[in-house]
Order: sequence, then C-alpha cells, then structure tokens
Amino acid sequence: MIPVEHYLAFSLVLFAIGAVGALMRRNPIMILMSIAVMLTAVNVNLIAFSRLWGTVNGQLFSLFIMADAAAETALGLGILVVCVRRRDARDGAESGLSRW
Amino acid sequence: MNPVSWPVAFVQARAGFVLLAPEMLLALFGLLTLLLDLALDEEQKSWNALPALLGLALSGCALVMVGFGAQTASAFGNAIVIGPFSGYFGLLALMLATLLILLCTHASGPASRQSGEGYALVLLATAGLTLLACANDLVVLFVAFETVSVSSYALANVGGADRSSLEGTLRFLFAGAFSTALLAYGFSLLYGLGGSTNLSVISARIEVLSQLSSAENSLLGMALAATGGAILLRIAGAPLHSGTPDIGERTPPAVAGFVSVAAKLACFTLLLRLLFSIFWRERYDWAILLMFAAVAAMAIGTLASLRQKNTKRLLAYSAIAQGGYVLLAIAASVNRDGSFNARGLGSAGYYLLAFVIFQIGAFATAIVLRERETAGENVASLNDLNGLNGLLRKHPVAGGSVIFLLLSCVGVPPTAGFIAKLEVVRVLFANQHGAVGWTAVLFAIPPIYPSFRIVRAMWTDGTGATERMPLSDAQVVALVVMVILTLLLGVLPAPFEHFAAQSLGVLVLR
Repeated sequence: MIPVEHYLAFSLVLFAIGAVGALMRRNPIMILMSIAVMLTAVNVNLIAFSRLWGTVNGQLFSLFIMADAAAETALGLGILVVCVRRRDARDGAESGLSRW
Repeated sequence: MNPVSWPVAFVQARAGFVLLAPEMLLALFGLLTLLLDLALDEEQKSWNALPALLGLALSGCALVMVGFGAQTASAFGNAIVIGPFSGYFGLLALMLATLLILLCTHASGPASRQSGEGYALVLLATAGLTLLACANDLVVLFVAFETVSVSSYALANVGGADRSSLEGTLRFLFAGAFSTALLAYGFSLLYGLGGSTNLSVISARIEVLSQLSSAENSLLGMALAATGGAILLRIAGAPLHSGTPDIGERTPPAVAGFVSVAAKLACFTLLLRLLFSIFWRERYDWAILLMFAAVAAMAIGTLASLRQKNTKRLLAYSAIAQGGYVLLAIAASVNRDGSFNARGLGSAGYYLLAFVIFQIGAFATAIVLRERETAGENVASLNDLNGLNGLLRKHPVAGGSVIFLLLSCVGVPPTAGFIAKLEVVRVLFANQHGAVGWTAVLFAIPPIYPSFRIVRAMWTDGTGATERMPLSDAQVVALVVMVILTLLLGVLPAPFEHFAAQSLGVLVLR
C-alpha cells in the first residue's frame, strides 16, 4: 500500500512543474501542454483520495476534469491553427506569439 | 437495487430536472439559435436575436417559478440547491445576457455581424452562470464554472479572426486555463478532506472535527490558498498573463463587456458559495486576505485604467476596480469577533446588482465609438474620444443615458453605483475597519477623471457629428431600461438591499 502522502507529494511536484511551464514558456503549444500537466496532477490527487476514502466521487470528478481539459486544449489548438495560417509566409517556421 | 424499483428510481431521479428548467431552457434555445443561424441568409441574420431573447424570457419565467421559493429545494442527492441565492444570481445572469443581446443589435454595418454563434455562446454561458448559482457539489461547481469560461474564450473571438484578436484570445485562454487548473487542485484537496464532493458533507465533516490534525489543517490551508488564489487571479485579471482587458481589437465592445462581467459574476458566486460553507472555519484568515486582495484589485484597476487610451481596456480595468469593492463587502461580512454580519453580504449582493447594470452600460461608450467606426465615419476607433463629439446635442436620449450610466460606474449620486459604494464603506466603518474604509473612499475618486473626459467629448460639437443616430432602437431601449433601473436602485435602495441580504443570507448555515 502506498501511503496517500506519497501521492500528494507527487501531484504537488507535478503541479509545480506544470505551473512553472505555463508561466515561463513562450511557445503556445508548450503552454497548453503545461496546463494539461497541471490538470493531470489534479487527477492524480483525486484518484488518490478516492482510493483513500473508498468513494467513487473522485474518479467521477477526474473524468469531468479530463473532458474539460480536452475542450480547452481543443479550443486553444483551434485558435492556434487559425493564427498560424494567417501568419505571413516570410515569418518563418517559429510558432511563438509575437509578444509575451 | 432490485429490478422492480428501478423504474420508480428513474422517475424520481427525473424530478430534479424540473428544478433545472432555467438552465435547460437556456441550453435548448442556445442550440436553437445556432441551428437558426445556419438556416439564415446573410441579410436575415438579425433574426438571430429572436430565439435568444425568447430563450432568456422563458428561462426568466422558469427561474421565477422554480427558484424563488422561500424554502430551499435540493435535487440529485443535494448536488443542486435551489433557493434565494440561486434565484438572485440567476436573475443577475439573465439580466446581463438580455442587456447584452439587446446591445448587440447593430444599426449599421452588415447584418452578418450579429452572429448566431455569438448569441448561442452567450446563452450557454448564462446557463453556466445559472447552474453555478445552484451548485452545491464540487463537480457541478467545476463544470458550471468551466462552461462559463470556455464559452468566454470562444466568445472573445466572435468579432473576426484577425491576428491581434486571436492572440488576445489565446492569452485570455491561457490565463483562464491556469486559474482553472489551480481551482481544480484546490477542489481535489477539499475532496480529500471531506471524503465527498458535496459541499454540505465536506463542511459538516470539517465542522465536526473539533480539532483538525496538523496534516488536515495544512491541507485545508492549501485548499484555501489554491481555491482563493485561483478565484482572485480570475477577478484581478492575472498580473501574470493578461486576462480580459487584452481581448483583441475586433471583439464587439458589448461582448467584451459581457465576458468581463460574466467572469466576475462567476468568480463571486463561487467565492460566496465556498467561503461561507467550507472555509468558515478559517474566516479570520480569509477576511484579512480578501481585504488585501481587494485593495490590490482597486489599485491595479484604477491606476491601470487611468493610463489607458483605448476605451475598451479602460472599462475592463475599471471593472477590476469595481470587483475590489465587492471583495471588500464580502470581507466585511465577517465581524471582528468572528460572527456573521448580514449587512456585509447584503451590500455585496446589492453592489453586484448595480455592477451588472452599470458595467454593461459603461461599455456603451465603446459601443457608440464602434458603431461610428462601422458606419464609415472617419473616427479613429476606440482610441479617439472625438468619435463621441456631438452625441449629447444631437441625440440627447442616447447620450444622456450613456453619461448617466458612466456616472453610476464612477459612483455619483443619485445613481445605484453611488449607493452601492456608500453601503460598502458604511459596513466597513461599522465593523471598525477604518483604514480600509478610507482606502475605499480614496479609490473612488480617480475614476472621475476618465469619465469627465468622456463626458466632455460628448458635450463638444465636432466635425464627426452626424444626424443619423449611431445606435439602433434596441440598443437605445436597452440603455433607457438600464438608466431607469439605475435610478430606481439609487433612489430607493432599501428594498433591493433587503432582498439582496435575504438572498445571500441563506448561504450561512449557522
């Protein structure tokens, strides 16, 4: 049995990694990935607690969080695709935002 | 579960859906608007507003019938609680959406500007707001909050897909998603503390433990930090990335106004719901924290708005400053000795009511400028207040309404905005928070300068003055209705304050 504190510490570290990534990255795709990492940390937390308490609500909540993460990422990527398509050809292949 | 009883359970479970009628109607009519938009030609697009407004009206009726009972009714295993609180905030949300849709019916420009998608998104966001007000469960809270947020990200882009608009939307999305992830983290910790996602169960468990172990105490503190931090980030528009103020150039000003007000409304609903049930144990901590956050929000909002030339950004920053006042009111509802002060909550509710009206109304300034720009008059868009020249002389009703709503935004008597600010300051002084009270009064003064500039621009005749009214009939109707409401709230505040205090007072279970 893995004590629940281990899960909590892991998810905290994962969340911190994601947060730092979301704040420091310039590339919008990497920012979206970092946000997904943060939400994964939340899911780890929820599932660990669901196991601790023996109820299923945590797993239910994590399903909803996954759905929401997918929706936000899809929206972000969609906007990004239109953004890149409208970019002039001479700007090259770099896909960052112009100012951050 | 034995096989005979499942039909009974099936029917019984459906009973909860009646209580959710407002949200379901909004979602249904949102989808209808979307479908209708596909069927219409370019010239007929102005008909898009019809199913949207119809949906809002029906939903309003449903809300009044279902949601305003003095009893609280609950459904879905206590995940949804319908009562005065949900009725009050549902009403605010519906009012916001109705005003927005009326203000979006443009007089000039191609009719295709009134996109059915935009109206559908507004209705869905309103459904999210209404659901948020009824939610008593972490999952429902999260889903409703996200409905509002994701609809806002999509709405931010409804004006057209040019470069700056897309980039602004992306930044808004990142900031929003970041705060959502932080909020979800806080929720997961709350679930861990309570063993259930139901707020009542969690708060009961936290109350019962006469002394939390140190591990649980730190978890609760972390949950408060994460949840509160996420909500405050959302309210203050994130000093990290830019939040709502930076939505791109092409977003219709009314939509930008809706997005910022809806986000604030969602945050405050969430905050109120959480603070007074689960985090009541830590009320000394969060009362102080909220005061600091409120002063910071007021400072950021006021100082940033003074430096803005762009009207839309100016108004978005001033909305942040107004949010600071509501935070103060919430913080003031905890007395020094830890007891609950109903007057503080009542002033917060009343402020939110006045806020919804005058914030959308203040965006009317930007709307007029945008209408003039679209009508082809040579106005340098939102950066140039000369587009407002002559409005007051030629079209006194429209110009006067805009000025009056601006006065309410700033807080000049006899408007609702003034009474709202006065009440907040009064509650603060009654609670012996004198320093904060004087700070609140101090920060009420600087917004007078930008409004004075706007009023002066409207007063002067300019070469840009035209005979033709830049605003459509529906827009003027919306403005006049807002003025009447503001005047009513400002001259007769007592019944509204009482109503607000009663509605929000049910939050406190003790």
